[in-house]
Amino acid sequence: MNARARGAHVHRGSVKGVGLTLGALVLLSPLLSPAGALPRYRIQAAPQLHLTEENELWELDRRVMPCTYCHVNADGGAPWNPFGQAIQATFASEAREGRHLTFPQALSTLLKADTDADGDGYPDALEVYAKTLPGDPASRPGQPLDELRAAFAAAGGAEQFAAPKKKAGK
Amino acid sequence: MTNRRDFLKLSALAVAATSGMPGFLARAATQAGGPKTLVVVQLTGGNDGLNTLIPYSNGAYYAARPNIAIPKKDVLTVTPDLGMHPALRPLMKLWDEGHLAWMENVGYPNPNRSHFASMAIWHTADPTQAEADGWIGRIAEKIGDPFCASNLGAATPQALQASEFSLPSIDSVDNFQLKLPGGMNTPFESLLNSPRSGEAAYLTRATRQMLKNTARVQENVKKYKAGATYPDTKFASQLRDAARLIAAGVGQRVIYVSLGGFDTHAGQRAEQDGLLGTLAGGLSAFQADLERQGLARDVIVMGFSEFGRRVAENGSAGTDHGKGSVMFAFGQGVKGGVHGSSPDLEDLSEGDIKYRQDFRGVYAEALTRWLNLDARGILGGTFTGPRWIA
Amino acid sequence: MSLTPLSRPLTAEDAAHFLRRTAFGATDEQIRALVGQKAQDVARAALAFDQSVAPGNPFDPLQGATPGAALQLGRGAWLYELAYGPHPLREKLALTWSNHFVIATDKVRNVPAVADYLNLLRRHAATRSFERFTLEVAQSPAMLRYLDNDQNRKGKPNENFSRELLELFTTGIGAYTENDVREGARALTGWSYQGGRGNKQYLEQPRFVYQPQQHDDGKKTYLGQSGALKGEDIVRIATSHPATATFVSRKLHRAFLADTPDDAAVRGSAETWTRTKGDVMAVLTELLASEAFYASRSRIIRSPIEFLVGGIRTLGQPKIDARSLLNLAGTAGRMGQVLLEPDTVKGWDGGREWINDTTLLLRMQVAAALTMGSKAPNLDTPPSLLALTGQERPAGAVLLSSLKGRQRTYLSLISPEFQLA
Repeated sequence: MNARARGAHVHRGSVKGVGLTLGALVLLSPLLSPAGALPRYRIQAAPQLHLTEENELWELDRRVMPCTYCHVNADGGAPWNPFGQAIQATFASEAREGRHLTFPQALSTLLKADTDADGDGYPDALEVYAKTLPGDPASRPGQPLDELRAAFAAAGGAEQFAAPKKKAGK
Repeated sequence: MTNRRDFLKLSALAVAATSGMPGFLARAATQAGGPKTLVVVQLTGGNDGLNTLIPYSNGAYYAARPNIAIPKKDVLTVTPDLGMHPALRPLMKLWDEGHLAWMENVGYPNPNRSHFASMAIWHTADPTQAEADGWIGRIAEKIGDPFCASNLGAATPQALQASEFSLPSIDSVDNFQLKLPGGMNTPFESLLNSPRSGEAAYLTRATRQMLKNTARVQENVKKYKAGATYPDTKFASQLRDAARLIAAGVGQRVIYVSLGGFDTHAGQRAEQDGLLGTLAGGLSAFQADLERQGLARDVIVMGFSEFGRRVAENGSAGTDHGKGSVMFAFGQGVKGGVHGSSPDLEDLSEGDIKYRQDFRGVYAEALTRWLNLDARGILGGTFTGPRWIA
Repeated sequence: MSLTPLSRPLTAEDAAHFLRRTAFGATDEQIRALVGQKAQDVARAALAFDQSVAPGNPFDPLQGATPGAALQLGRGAWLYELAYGPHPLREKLALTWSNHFVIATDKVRNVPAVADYLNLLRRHAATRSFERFTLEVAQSPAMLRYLDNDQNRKGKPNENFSRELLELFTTGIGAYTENDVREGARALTGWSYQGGRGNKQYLEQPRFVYQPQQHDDGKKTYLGQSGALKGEDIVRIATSHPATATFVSRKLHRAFLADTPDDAAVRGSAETWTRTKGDVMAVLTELLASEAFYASRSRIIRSPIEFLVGGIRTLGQPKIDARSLLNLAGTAGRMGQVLLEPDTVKGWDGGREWINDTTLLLRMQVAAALTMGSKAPNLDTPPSLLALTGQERPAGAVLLSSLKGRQRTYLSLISPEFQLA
């Protein structure tokens, strides 16, 4: 009938069960399944860096951890900004030492190193904490460095950005 | 009831839970009869073939991958030049028994590094159509990519299906039944018993039919007792469901299962090593289960990924999209060994291997010599490949 | 013969019926408010909607992180409007038109284009001029993209839109020849859009453009009329063709009267259509107050969206958080109805096609979630059987009345009666 009439769709996701106890899961099942359907690194990083707070639709919302967190362009892809490059370098240098990290582990390792990718005077971890962009020197916390450092330490330091324990591949 | 599709076929197809069943497989599924079953495993995201079946005697491999190569001492030797990734150890028994086949150097014509074109090609088994149908744009939304790239990302991966099928999905066999809250079975039954006419009567009949169908499947499935301990992974539970359906004799001949996360642009070893372990753990349990049930003679497994990855590692201890990869198959009906020659890592085309085996030739073997189908009709052409069916 | 108006004042079951068909369902209180009123007043009031929307919609597609995410947010936004909006009949009509002038978001992936399209359907939901409506749809970037008229150029015609304009949007098969399709395509050359092309521009606003240099200004003959016809002429000729009155009236009857409409009643609406030159408002005002409408009970199987929205509205619009709403939109998809993405340009077939084992199981699962799940609303005072089933004494009424709030509601939601409108 039409050149673009196309195959029937199958819509998949977690159908968790039927009945009293499980029925509620229609409403409670994960927002997006599988999660991999959206950029995986962003989906992993945003909760790890505590950037999703108070936005229940954060996976879909570009205001939460925009691509420019790590990339130069607003729509992602190459090239990467200094923070994105620092993550890449972390993967490479750790692998050279025989340590093979997952993305969340690499992120955590980098933030513990207390380096300042964009050279704006504020280490990456402090920028993550202050919710500014660690890869953009024009985006920096308004608070004085010492004050911010103290608040960051009081909040748990770089440990608060540790990789979640959950195993991949499950 | 008119228009009612073959329930048993659908229920089994529906096990294809986490990703879409390729169109050509759906075509095969509706045509296949007989006693044999083909289980297709898709490694979604582009599995790196070189770190799966490792050319451990090849210096060019180690030169290209200073940080992420699998050391020679770790590989599971299968030939003087090739060895399996250590995480695949659970599959070594099959190899030793001569029932595990590796198909080297597999790719498709006019390779395209994009996920989307590539996925469409694998799914339709038609390299020309992916472009002609404008599928690339549509599939783009449906397959994940780890990067923050705006041409990606949507709800769920969807099948590229043959147009005549509308396959429902239920993520596990157990959920394919109605469990009413306590004490409500009788009221529900009497509600259905009230006299009705017109569309209300139609819906009553449809509901009764559904209850009957789901009960029948559950009854069959209940007879199954796992003959092996499956690992606690979602992938393994999909395989367990596949085994249950096979053991229950529901008549499904093509079953599709997928494992995602192979798009290892960064930190490949940490990701792929784990995934291959998940893969091998699930598959070996599945095989052991089938053997215990006395079903192993009639079931084979064939595994593929949409594309491979570059020969050289990138700056993030990962690999980027590349051309060609390996496929595997196992089962008592499979002729073990390495089929086809390994890629020449020193004769690359823009950093990629030059594949030698058209993937459709590998598919054709399973369709023709295992399922007894007309591969030409299903794949839309005549393709040859290694004789990997025993 | 036009349709005969209903002469009696509305009974409770009449009112429930009206709201099931025009508002996806309603609470007992909303039903009672219509009892005793005149059918024509009720129809006119329901059709007197403006373009106001539900306050506090949590979804904003323009904030989508990717095209896919944006489209998903758009679906959430529409589901919210369907369930909580002030004008359910407008939304029901928009849903109906989205299944008539079909586009699909797997091809049209530009967020403003999709939003404009949906707003166009709302604006023309009960249009005074089907011709004007069709023209605006034809010139919308969403439709230009979906049916490729943006590729339709002088000397290199693309007939996709021209064909569907006749086959699916106006006359239906039988009223035209292949030659009309070809000539129509020639006349429609030059209609295209600028902006918003490509995945990266998914948030950029596209605009309709007429490109005179791409337009074939030669003589054409279309449905018996000849001249140097332009795109506007094609739309005018197609929409005013006598077959269009019947073809589109039949679609309205499918939406409001029955999955399998009665030919005589369709002819009645078609006559009004012809007399008013495609005044859909007039056709609907008559239709929704007619004897035929009120006599046609339980003859429509609710679509997945109608089932979900019906459930929410019948339960008195309990608040459901944004993630759950998004999941419900996804569940509608698994039941066969992804908003703004019908399987083919023909749209959803509907009726019995909605029903199979899996979709029935899913409906029961949704019913359980709405009534028994941890987030279910308080049902100590459950909706009346009239609100749930449209009948004061439905099948199994004694049994249902004997059950407690939650159980009664759950069982009613999975009854055949609730699946119907």
